[in-house]
Amino acid sequence: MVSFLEICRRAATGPIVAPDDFDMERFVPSLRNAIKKHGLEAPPKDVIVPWDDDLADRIYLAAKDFLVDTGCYCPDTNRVIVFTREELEESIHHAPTQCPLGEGKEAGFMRPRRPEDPQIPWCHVGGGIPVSSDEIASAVVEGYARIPHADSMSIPALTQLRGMPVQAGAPSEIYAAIQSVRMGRDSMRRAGRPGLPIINLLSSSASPMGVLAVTNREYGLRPSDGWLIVSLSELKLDYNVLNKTAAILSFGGNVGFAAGAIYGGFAGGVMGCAVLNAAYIMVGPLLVGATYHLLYSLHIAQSNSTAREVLTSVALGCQAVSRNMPFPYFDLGYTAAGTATPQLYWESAARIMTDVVSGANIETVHPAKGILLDNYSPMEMLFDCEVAHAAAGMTRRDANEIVKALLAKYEPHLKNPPEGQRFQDCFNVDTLEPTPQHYEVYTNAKAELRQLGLPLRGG
Amino acid sequence: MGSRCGEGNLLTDAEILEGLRQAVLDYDHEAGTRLVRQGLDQGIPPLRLIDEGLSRGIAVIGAKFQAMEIFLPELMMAAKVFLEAMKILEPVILASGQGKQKRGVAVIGTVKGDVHSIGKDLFGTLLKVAGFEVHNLGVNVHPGKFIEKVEETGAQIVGLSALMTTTMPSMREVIEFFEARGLREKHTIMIGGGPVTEAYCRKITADAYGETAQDGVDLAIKFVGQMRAAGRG
Repeated sequence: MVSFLEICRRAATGPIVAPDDFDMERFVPSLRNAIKKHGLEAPPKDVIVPWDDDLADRIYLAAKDFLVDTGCYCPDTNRVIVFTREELEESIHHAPTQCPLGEGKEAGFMRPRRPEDPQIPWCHVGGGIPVSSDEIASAVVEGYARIPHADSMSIPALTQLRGMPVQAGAPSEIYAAIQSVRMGRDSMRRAGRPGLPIINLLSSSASPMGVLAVTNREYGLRPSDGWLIVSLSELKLDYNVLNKTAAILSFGGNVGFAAGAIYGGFAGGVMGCAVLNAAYIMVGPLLVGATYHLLYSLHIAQSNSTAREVLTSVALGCQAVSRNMPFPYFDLGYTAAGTATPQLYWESAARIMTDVVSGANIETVHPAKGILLDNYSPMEMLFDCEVAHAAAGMTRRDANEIVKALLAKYEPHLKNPPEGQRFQDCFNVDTLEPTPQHYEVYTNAKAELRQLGLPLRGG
Repeated sequence: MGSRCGEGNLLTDAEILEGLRQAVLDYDHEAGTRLVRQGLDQGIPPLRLIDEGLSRGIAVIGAKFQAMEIFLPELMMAAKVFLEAMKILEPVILASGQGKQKRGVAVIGTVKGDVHSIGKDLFGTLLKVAGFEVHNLGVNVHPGKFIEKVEETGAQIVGLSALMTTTMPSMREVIEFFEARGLREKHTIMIGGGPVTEAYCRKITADAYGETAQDGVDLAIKFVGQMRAAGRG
């Protein structure tokens, strides 16, 4: 097995390549060669959620070829971290088949799933969406933790600390990192679920210093939480990422590797992104000792992950891995529409159903591309979990029909989506109850999904 | 007008211009540079080679990218055809004294604390193709570096990129540096990146927000025009 220290050594001694040359002379040709070698062709446009197992298996093989030919780039050293096919195969063989997360009665295992698997997916609830105040953050997280389906949590990104903007590299980042975890734990405790794992590491801090600041068990994260390592696009690991990984592995934390293809970027179209998505999931154990993966794929121009082509490329990447590598991972989608709008529910259902029938576990989707302040609601997180549970065991063909119907509703509005409402506008922050109007949007969406054939439970 | 080129192929001016357009569409930088040399040899004005040849190809490429009929690698390859051709044309234009005026000068970079680069680099490439002189400072750029480069180059446009909510405040910091040095009114400061919004642009008193790289280029062209009209460019 290649150790993490050996990966660091290769980052410092591998072949020197200029940054542009890595993208255009190495990454792009390798990906295109792999697509050509394995005869990969995108499915017809009306097949959003493909069900071709042979295609999925060829994508898996293509992803391996692509990784071995490309390696991974370290921008700090301008060197390529290269590895052999045998090293990649060995890391896949020894990759964890389940990821232990959480404590006490909330302890559980994120497990791999297969396409059309009846096993209920792991539901990761929340998001690293920016919030305007500790009060809002605290209420939102308590709302998340009250969702009975929630298996793990993400804590929002604090944007200010006693009136001071939270800024990367400044002391405010360190204090925000500590404060966000402490606030999150208190909120989960109020919901009666203090053992829920936080598995997005820190939305309020991306630096190695932020990670080190929360390794104190008294007020920080625990080894049983998930420590997310976010790579750079595409297939790049800088020293920030490697330094964080070194600290987390030494601390004994679960490393989650986070990466997803940018549709329209260097990976190109549907098949390039499908291969890259599969490659990202399979390479985390080799590069950073990952025990789980977070996939998040975006459209380069629209910044959402509910566009038709993104749905298909994620479905194919997930199916490729889920059929061939028993490794736990989950997918995160970003909608164009904001909170408390019907379109958000349509987009969310399409994203979640595509994931679940393709073998992924899920994270609740991020409204409004995850960028608008306070733009999220526990009602929608609940809806996402309910959709995920209802879609478990559904065939890909059946899911495809529902997703097509949903796309017909929202696709014309992706470029000019409704912004929706802030949490405090559609929820009572004191009682944590949705406004009647917000609740009605939720129940209407569920009724629509039932009419389309998704067996949702409850009101 | 037509003449015999070095390889013995007779090409009319119209064929050379069409060939340049096609070289961009074919991502063939060798054909692009060969045709530029041929065109210059037979007396086609360099500005005509740009405006009626290369730029027409780039316009098609830009439209195809916006429609997602082609993707980033194709866009980069087409830009390479244009930029390689410009390496030959620019000295000729300067020497002739007829000088096509640069569209403008831009200094761009990803702000302090942030190391993401794809969107910013794409913006830089499109700016170059649109006729701007571009100084790309890279990632994790201290505010003072923007000031230094702007003073050195006389740039009108400053482009700031951030991909994390925790690095967005660094955009405001750059603006404060410009204000502190009394340079704020002389430059257009544009911002962009995944989490950045129009509302944030207003909040930090930046001049413009580009949702996509092409939006940013369109805005840069507009602002440079306004600055020139106001005697500031």
